[in-house]
Formats: sequence, structure tokens, C-alpha cells
Amino acid sequence: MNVVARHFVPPAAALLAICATALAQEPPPANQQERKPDQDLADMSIEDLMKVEVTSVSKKEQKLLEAPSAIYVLRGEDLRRTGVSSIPEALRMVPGIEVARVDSSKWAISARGFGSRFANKLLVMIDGRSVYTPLFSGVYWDVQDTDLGDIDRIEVIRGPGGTTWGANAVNGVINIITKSSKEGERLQATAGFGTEDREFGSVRWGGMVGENFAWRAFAKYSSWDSGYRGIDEWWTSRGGFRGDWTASADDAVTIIADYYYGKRHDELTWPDFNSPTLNTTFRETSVARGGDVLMRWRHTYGPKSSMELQAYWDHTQRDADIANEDRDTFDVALQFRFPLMGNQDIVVGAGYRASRDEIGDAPTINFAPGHYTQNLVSAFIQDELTLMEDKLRLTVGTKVEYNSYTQVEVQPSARLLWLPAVHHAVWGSVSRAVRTPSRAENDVSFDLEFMPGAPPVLTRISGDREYDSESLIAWELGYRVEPMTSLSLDAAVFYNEYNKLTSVEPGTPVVNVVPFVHVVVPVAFDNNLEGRTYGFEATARWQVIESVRATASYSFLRMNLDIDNDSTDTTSEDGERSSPKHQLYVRGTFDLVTNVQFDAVGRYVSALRDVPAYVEADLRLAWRPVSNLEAALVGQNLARPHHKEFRTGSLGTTVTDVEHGVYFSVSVKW
Amino acid sequence: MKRIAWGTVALFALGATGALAVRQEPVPEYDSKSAFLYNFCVYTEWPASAFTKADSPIVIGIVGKDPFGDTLKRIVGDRTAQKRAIEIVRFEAVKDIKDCHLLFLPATEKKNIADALAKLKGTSTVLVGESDGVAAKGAIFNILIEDKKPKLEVNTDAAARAGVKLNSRLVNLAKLVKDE
Repeated sequence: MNVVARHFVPPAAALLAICATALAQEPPPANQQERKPDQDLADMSIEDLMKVEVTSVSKKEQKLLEAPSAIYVLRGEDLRRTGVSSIPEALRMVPGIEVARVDSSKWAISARGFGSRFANKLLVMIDGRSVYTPLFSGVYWDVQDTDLGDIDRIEVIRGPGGTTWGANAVNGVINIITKSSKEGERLQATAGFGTEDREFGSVRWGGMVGENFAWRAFAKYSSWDSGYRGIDEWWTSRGGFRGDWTASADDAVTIIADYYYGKRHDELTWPDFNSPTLNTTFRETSVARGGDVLMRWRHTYGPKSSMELQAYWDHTQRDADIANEDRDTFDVALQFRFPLMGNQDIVVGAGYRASRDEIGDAPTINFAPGHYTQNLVSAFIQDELTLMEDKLRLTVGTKVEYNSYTQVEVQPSARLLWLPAVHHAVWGSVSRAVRTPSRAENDVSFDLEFMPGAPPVLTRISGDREYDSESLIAWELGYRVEPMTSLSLDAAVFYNEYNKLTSVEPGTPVVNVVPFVHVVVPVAFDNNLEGRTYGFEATARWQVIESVRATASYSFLRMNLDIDNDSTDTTSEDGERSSPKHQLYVRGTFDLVTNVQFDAVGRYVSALRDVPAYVEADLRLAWRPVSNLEAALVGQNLARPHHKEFRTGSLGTTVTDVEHGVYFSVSVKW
Repeated sequence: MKRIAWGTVALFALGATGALAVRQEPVPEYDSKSAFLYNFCVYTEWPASAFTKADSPIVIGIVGKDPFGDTLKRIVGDRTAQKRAIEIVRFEAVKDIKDCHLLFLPATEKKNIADALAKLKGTSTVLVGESDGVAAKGAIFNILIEDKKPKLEVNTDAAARAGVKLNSRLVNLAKLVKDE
């Protein structure tokens, strides 16, 4: 237990004592306006009853049952109830998604295999803005954030989504969707502190300008402790704005803007010709800052026909010892939806994206050319065909994309939905998706640390202009059933066939004599790996009684990666062991009394290469003495003092263990 | 010293809780809809022939998959309406519908509204829907959620056909809908 944890015991005990008191007796109403117990709704005048807001999920749930893909929706409520403090941590709740923390500010997150800090087969979007970086086709998770209280839902689709979302939506799509600014409190403030989530606070306020323009703004600050025995602590601050303008009954305009700035530390090991050990290990400090502005206009023509125009600009900058990156992305997309011949629902769209970067050299890494603009032009069409009313639906579509590296890519899919009976849905699909080359795979040159020996060996990885897209043909089958209002089950099986996956091919070693004799082994990116993966995910949600809910999910994954006959790659097949074969997640949500909430989470992740299997537990206890104040005590990773989640940090980054932690927070709203 | 500090924090927190203004919390959708059903029992006047005895209960039927769970029972509790007890019954499907005074047609049964109306023809059962357009198709009440607030539609033609009288207080709050 560290110093902060020891300090923490008195308030924790006090909170528990308060909760216990609250449990022992019915909470007395604080004053006359205190919310009545819900059965008194029946005693309200009908006029008043019509003014009481309702929380409604039924329509969305219905649509979810009938989605012809492996979709899982994490509600804002799930985030609040588990007390997760970042988007990567929230994703641990999703079946089929593997989340491994590399160090305090870095994660290896992937879906259905291929876990790596630079996992590149997952498309992530926040309010329609793509946040994966074309630098390595992955995601800098440390800068993907918003006020978590404003998140309406996180929709996660396992499996390819290339037909609508385009390249990189190979193994999954994550859509983070924030609430409309019409929703939520006028003013909400949260502050807390803890051992791992060290100090954090956020303020969010919102309101109306006139009758038709709703807005909100937030500012937040978070800081995190280092991992076990690490020197990788970090902090970040962020501000954002969202405006929702109802221009007319048929026109809605949304404006979103964000800015963030943060500083993080990590430990790097580089080759160093001046060091007696040939490598040097040091503490790196990097600054990441950026911002974005997005505008979306939606015009509704009728119940099933609409138009949506969206444009955004995103700026991101990272100043680090390992490399400086400065990137501007501009994106515009237009989409129409309309019915055709009574039984067809058509969506067509087109988009253009330009991403311009400038990358500064570092001692061991450089990009040639130093700046470059990637262009992406795309168009897609999708047709949802009702073959039999309320029984059988076929969705077919394709995306056609033009990109700067591989030119034209086609990503078609066909999905069939069968509703054999009410509350039963069966779906199946076959789809193709591609992962287009990243800037790094084309242009990078990077030296790994020296391997000692006589002479010592230096591995130099370099990009290849001939590097091609990776492609996938995916077969999926799913079943959902709601045998009772209180119980729902969801299962999906998949078989994926990958072609032209990334391999690293060693070239002819070169002997250098300056400043001393050493061997340089050049290694280039190529596409000589094939893969087959299969697995399934199953989820059950059960409302045991009114005040108790249980969720459980299990994910199974098998990966087979094989190099081609003409490949000399000795490491890539090992990617099989970078993703867990088994994952289990269970969660209980308890409303102990009307103002005390308790949540318990258990997680199991099977072993990876050099990483033992682990079981972890998270707990959250929240007390709401009056409806606008909440105090919460959260314990994370409580099963052991620390555990390891991933083998390698890539690029010489030191991996640190995840430590157990506890935090306390208070939230008030008006 | 530390204990004093924490005590101060606790006192401050308690003080703050008392001082804060309180606002109405949103309620679950079916809590609200349950309260509406109860109000319909109170504000609908059925013909005497709809009850076998002077103290027969008002029967609320729910057809198909019941979205209320135990919510309706909990909200209604042991309340009475028009000096009558309130009973809740469930019907597996439209073909199983039996005598009742209010019949709730969940969104999942929307497509079966014509069959339900055929089944209710000649009775004074008040059909209550929760989906777009069902009032125009013949449901007497339709509870919709717009912008998170409940909205009520009333089809007075359908009420006249069923021979029930609706309290003007209810009608005044609702949007009037004609048959399609």
C-alpha cells in the first residue's frame, strides 16, 4: 500500500459508515420538494405527470435486437455505474474487445485478435469524427476522451464495418456518441482523488439560447499515477463545447469543438553508440495537444428519408523525444437515406478526407519524406431490403475507396436478418474489409535496441513503398433472444480469413565499423502473412429483481497465423499469442436502497505470451443523500497489488504493471 | 489533526446537501406509463354493462410481451378507481384477449392492432397504445414519448364507438386524433 492509499482509509471508512446508516433506515425526505417514492407517481395530477421526464430505452433496444451484426452498446449509465475514468477502461466491459494496459498512458486495444499497442484493425470514432491516426492506423488512446458524464452510449461492432465506415474497420468499429446538449443537467461539477486516478475534476454547464439552441461546455482535468515501479505518470486537461440547433422542424445542426493539452512520461530504451551497454534507458516526457471542430447538418424529408452533411477539422500535435508529429485532418461527408419501391431502405454517401502531417526526426526514428498529405475519396451504397415483412431482411452494400497508397479498394458485404418469432433474431453475414497502409509502413526508418553479442546487432526496421493493403473475408452468424422482459441473450460466431497481413522481412546484414564494429540487420515491412481466426462471444443480461441486474459475457478466440513459403519472417507468427483466448466479464448492479448504488465487476483474461492469466475485481459504492449530490468510492483492480497485462510496449517503451487503486469522488448538479 | 480535517469535510458536505435545491428526477418510461394507465382508470366512465357487479374490479389487460414487468403492479399498488379495485391480467397474444376494461397494446404488438380492434369490436374496452399512428388506427389513448416527455393522444371517435365517456380534464391535455 502506498502513502496515498494509507491516507485514504479514514474517508473510506467514513463513507462506508454513512452508507451503512443509510441502509439501516429509510432515507428521510430532505425537504418538501424531495423526490417522492415512485409509486406516488400514481397520485400525481395528470398535468404534473405529463411534465415528468422519462428515461426510455425500449425503441433502441428493439432496434438492437434486429441489428444484423455483432453489436454491443455500452450505455452512459454503465460508465457511471462502474466508475471507469477513461474510454479504454470502459471498453473492458465489451465482449470480444481485448484491452491491455501497456503503461499508465498506453493501451493495446483490439477486437477479435491482433492486440498490440499499435493495433490497426479497429476504427474508432467520437461523434462521427475518426480518431485513428493514419500514422500507424491505430489510436493514441491517451488523447481520446470527453466528459464521460456526457457520453450517451458507446456502440461497439465486432467484425468488419468497412461497407459503411471504410478502411480500417476490419475487426471492429467503436462509436462514441455524446448526448445532445438538450439533455443533461444545467450545471454539474465532479471532483475526486485517489491512488491511481490521482486528482481529477470536471465542470460542465449548459443551457438554452432562445427556444431552439441548446449548448453545453465542459472543462476537465485528470492525472494518473505511474504503473507498478514505473515512472510513467501523466496528466491531461481538456475543454469542449457542443451546440444543438433545431433550425426548423426538419433541420438539426450540431456543432462540436474540443481542445486538449497534456503531459505524459514513459521509459524508453534506445540504441546509444556512446553508452558502454550500447543501449540507453531514460525517462521521456512528451506533450500532446490538439483540437477539433465539427459541424453536422441533418435534414429530414420524411420518416425514412433524410440527408446528412458533416465536416470536421482535427489538429493533433505530439512533441516527444521519440518523434514530433504535427497533423491536420480535414474531412467532409455527405449521406442520403431514402425508401425505394416500398420495401427498400437505401443509404448512399460520399466523402473526402485529407490528412497532412509534418514529422520531426529523432535520434532513432525518422520518416522520409518528413511531410506528406494522404488523400482519401470514398463512396458507398447500402440497401436494406425487406424480403418478408417483420420476418426477413437483407442488407447489401459496398464501399469504394481511393487512397494515396494503394489506389482503389472495394469493401462489399451482405447481411441477412431472420426474425423467426417475436423476441428472436438470427443473422448471418459475409463481408470483405481492408486495412490500407499507414504512413509508417511506407516511410518509417527505426532502430530497435542493440542485441549484445560479438559483434553487437542492430535491427533497423524500414517502411516499404510496395507495401499493400491487408484484406479480410469474414463470415459471421449471430442469435439474439429475449425469453422474458428481464432476460436477454446475445451470441455471435465468426470465421475470419486474412490475406496479405503485415510481415517483417529481414534483408542482408551489413557490417559497419563506425564508431565500432557492429552488424545492422535491415528489416522491411511486407505482406507475407496469412491468417485464420475464429471464435465466439456470448452475453447475457438479467434483471434479477427490480433492484438487481447481472451481466455476464464470455469471449473465445483462436488465431492461426502462417508465413508464406517465400517469407523469412521469424516473429510475426507469434502475434497469435498477443491476444487472449478466453475472456470473462461479470458484473452485478445493485440498487441497495433508493439512494445507494453498489456495483461489482469481475474480469478474467487468459494468458498471453509472457503475460500470465489474471483475475481482477472492481467495486463501486455510491451514495446520493439528496438527488443532486452523489459521493462515490471506487476500487479498481482489487484482486492483487499489481498485475501485468501486455508483453511489449513497442518502440522500446517499458511496460509497467497495473496497480490496484481506490478513488473517492463527489459530484453535484443543479 | 487528520480526523478534525475529515470531520470538517463531512460537516461541510452535510451542510451543502441541505442547501442544494432539488429537482425532479426522470422516471423510468414504464413507471410513467403505469401512472397514466391508473389515471385512465380514474378518468374513464364505462357503461354499467361493462361490470357484472357494483363492486367488480376494473381490469387492465396487457397483450403480447409485457413491457411493464412488475412496474404496473407496483405503481398501482392497492389503489382503487371509481370505488373499484384494479386488476391486471396478461394475454399471450391478440387471439387470447378476454374481457377487460383497458387493454394495453405494446409497441411490439403495433402491427396486430387491426386484429385487436376486431377482437374488441362491440365491447367497451379502451385500447391504449404507445406507438406512432395507433390512435388514428382506432386506439382510444396513445401515450407517446417526445423529447423525453409523455404526450397523450385521444381518439374521441373511437371512444364514442366503445361507448365510454372520457373526463374533459384528460381530453383537454391530449392531442385529439381522428380516425384515419
